Formats: sequence, structure tokens, C-alpha cells
Amino acid sequence: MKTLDISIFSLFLCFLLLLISFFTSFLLKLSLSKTILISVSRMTIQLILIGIFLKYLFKWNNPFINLTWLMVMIISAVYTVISTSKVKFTKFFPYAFVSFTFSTFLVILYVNKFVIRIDNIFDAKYIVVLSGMLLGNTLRSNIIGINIFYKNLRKESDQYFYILSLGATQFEAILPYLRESMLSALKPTLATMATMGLVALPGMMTGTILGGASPITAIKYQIVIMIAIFVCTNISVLLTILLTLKVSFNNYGILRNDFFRDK
Amino acid sequence: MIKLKNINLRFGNKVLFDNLNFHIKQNDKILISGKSGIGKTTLMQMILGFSEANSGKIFFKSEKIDRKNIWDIRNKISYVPQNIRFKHLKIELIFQNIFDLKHNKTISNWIEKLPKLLEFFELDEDILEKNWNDLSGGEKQRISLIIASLLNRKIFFLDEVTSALDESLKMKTINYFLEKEDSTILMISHDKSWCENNYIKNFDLEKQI
Repeated sequence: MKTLDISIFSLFLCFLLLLISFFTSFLLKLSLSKTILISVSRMTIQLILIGIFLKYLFKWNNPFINLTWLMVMIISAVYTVISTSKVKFTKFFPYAFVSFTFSTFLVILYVNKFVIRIDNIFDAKYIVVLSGMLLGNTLRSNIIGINIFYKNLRKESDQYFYILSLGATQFEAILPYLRESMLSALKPTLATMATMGLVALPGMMTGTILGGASPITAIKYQIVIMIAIFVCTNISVLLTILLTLKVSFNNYGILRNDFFRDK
Repeated sequence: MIKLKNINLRFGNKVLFDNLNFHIKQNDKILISGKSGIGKTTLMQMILGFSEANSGKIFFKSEKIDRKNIWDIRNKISYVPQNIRFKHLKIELIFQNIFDLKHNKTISNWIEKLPKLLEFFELDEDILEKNWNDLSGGEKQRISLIIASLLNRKIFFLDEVTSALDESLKMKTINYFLEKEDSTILMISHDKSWCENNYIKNFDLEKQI
């Protein structure tokens, strides 16, 4: 079984469906027409570009190019985490980069080598596509975890000082905050796993089934990717926080103001 | 024992300390006074290394406080800040966590001392089963004073520790600390009751500026 291709004309027919949305926007005066047009155009252009890009990536299937592209994905993931938090780019970037690279590579190479057991563990189809899913999903959890860690420490600095005064080492004092941020980062993925298959068919499964695989193969891939996402989040949040401690705190064990973009 | 020399501290344009000098001798009982926002708490926090001065030096037993010795100095001072916020934890577990810290592992007799201190501060032993967030302000203050006493330290920094206590408990608490002849005590309080005691020296921050 092969996935049916969609012709350009069929795609045009698909766009026709949007007329319904334009109509309701007009009817209810939602003033959404312009936004719909921009969003749909952006999606189309971006996907066309990535489609062409992936086509060549798969065609060349050169480990060096695949890894370079993986690095680009990791850098943009780190960049997104920094832009949604209040930490300073130059201070945070190197540590988060190391943490993201380490966790992504560890998990993806393990999966490729021992779980999917492909001969070329740097095969574009597997390493680029799976890492993309991994990074896209761990990204959200990392934003939650890292933001909660530093936000709570700043908000509750008095309580943190008090724990230090009670005799805690720096690590003992940050431990409650580390715990809280790890829990917040991991809980969404745990909740998703617990409802998986009940609420909606996950994207990866849909793709695998349409790609011609049997539902049994599809669920196996889904299980693999969910566990990979969970473990990768676990490692990256923990590692990012532990690695940044050296630059975010001064030698007195106090959070440095110049680690953050706002004072 | 603790000496602050020519301390300058600014927050943006606001000058908090301008060439401040302050000397705490061993076994002194000193009340820091002055209006709100003048820097009483900051003064305590500077000695504990939680707040850094723009210039000036702080000495602890003639040793200049720096990033190396601050960790030992903190362990010599029992600090009771205002508004302690433990997470939603059982009181018993809070005590347990504090005495499980590596540095406090040597304090083994806290469990024997605890009932007596609870009784002295007029708290029922049932309180150990309650959650921190369910305690009243006065109960929280007394628990934090008990923690401070159990740490076996000879220096106390007490920041507004009697504000939520009733009159008789207030006097009891004040006397409890002032009667510790071999302890050095630095306190902040808007309570006049502390001043009525002759042992207390007053350090008025308003007169330093």
C-alpha cells in the first residue's frame, strides 16, 4: 500500500474548504479574513520550502549534512527557550546548547541503534524526522521547567536565603526548586501519555498509518517516540539547570542579577 | 565580634547606607530601630552575605567576610526572617528536613528538646501534624523561633519575631532570648516591649544618615 499523492488541483479543492471560514468570518464580523489569508499562506510557503529541503536531504542522505541540520534544529530550539524566558542569551546559550545536544543525541542514537535497529544510525529519514519530533516536544517542557526554576527562585528569594541560613549547602537549598521545576516539566508529557489513543490519534501514528504501515507498527513507533520525548525532557531540563548554576549564582550562593535580561 | 566598616549601599538612585559603621560585641543584645524602608533587614542580610554592599568591609571575628568563609559564618548565626513561607508541608516534616541537612546532622538532641520548647512557647504537640499554611501568624513565628533555638547557635538575628504574638507571649519570648547571657542577639522590632529591658542597646539607623 502506498500513500495516495495529492495533485495540485486536489490541493486547490482543499483550499476551497476555507471559503466556509471566510463566510463565517464575514457573517459574524470576526474580521478574520486577512489573518486567515496570512496564516494559510505562511503555512503553505514554509511547508513547501521544508518539503523541498527534506526531499534533497533524503536524496543526498549524507551523515555530515544530516548532523549539520540537526545542529541547526538544536540551536533554534535553544534560541526559542531563551526568547521565551528572561535569561541573558550569552550567559545561557552555551550551557543550554550542550544540554540539548547531549540529551537529543543520547536518546536518538540509542533509539536508532538499539530500538529501530537501522544500519545507518545517521539516516536522514530517522535522525532528522525523529529528532525534529523530539526537539519540538521537549522544547515546550524545557520552557516550562527552566522558567519555573528561575522564576520561583527570584520570587521566593527570602525563603531561599532562609534555607541557606539554616545550614543548607547551595545544592540543598536549590533542591526544592529543582524538584518543582522537574515536576512541572514532566507532568504534561505524563498526562499526554496517560490519555494517549483515547482522546485523539497522535500525529505520528496518523502519519505512519497513512504512510502505509500497519496500525501495530504505528503504535510501536508512537510508544517509542513518547518514551524518547519523556526521557529527553528529563535529561535536558535537569542538565540545563545544573549546568547553568555556575553562571546564574555568585560565590555567595545568591542568584546573579546580570544573568537576567530584566533587573 | 561583627564589624561593619564604611558601608555604602545604593539601589539605583536611592542611597541606603552612606559610610555606615556598626560594631556588635560578643554577647551584645542590640535592637536596630528606624522607620520602614531604612534598611534594617538589609543590614542583617549584608552580614549573612545575602545582600552585597557597593563598598565597605564587614568583619566577623576580625576576619573579612568573603565568598569562602561566608558559608561557615552563616552556620554560626540563627536567622529568623519575617514572613517565612515553607511549602505546604507538615510541621514535623519541616523539622525533619532542617535537621537532615548535612551541616545539621551533628545536632542529634533536637528531638528530645522539641517537646519542652513547644510547651514553653505554648504550642500543643498536635501542631506537628498540621500543615505550615494552616498555621496562624503567631504559630508560624513560634515554630520559627523553636527552629532557631534548636540549631544550637550562639548568635541570633531576629527580624520582627514577636509582631503576631499576644502580650504575655511577647514578654516571655523577649525574656527567653535576653536571658541567654552567652548569646549575641541582633534584633529588629517595632515593639516597644523590647526596649523596656536594660540589657538592650539601641542602634538607631535614622541617626546614622
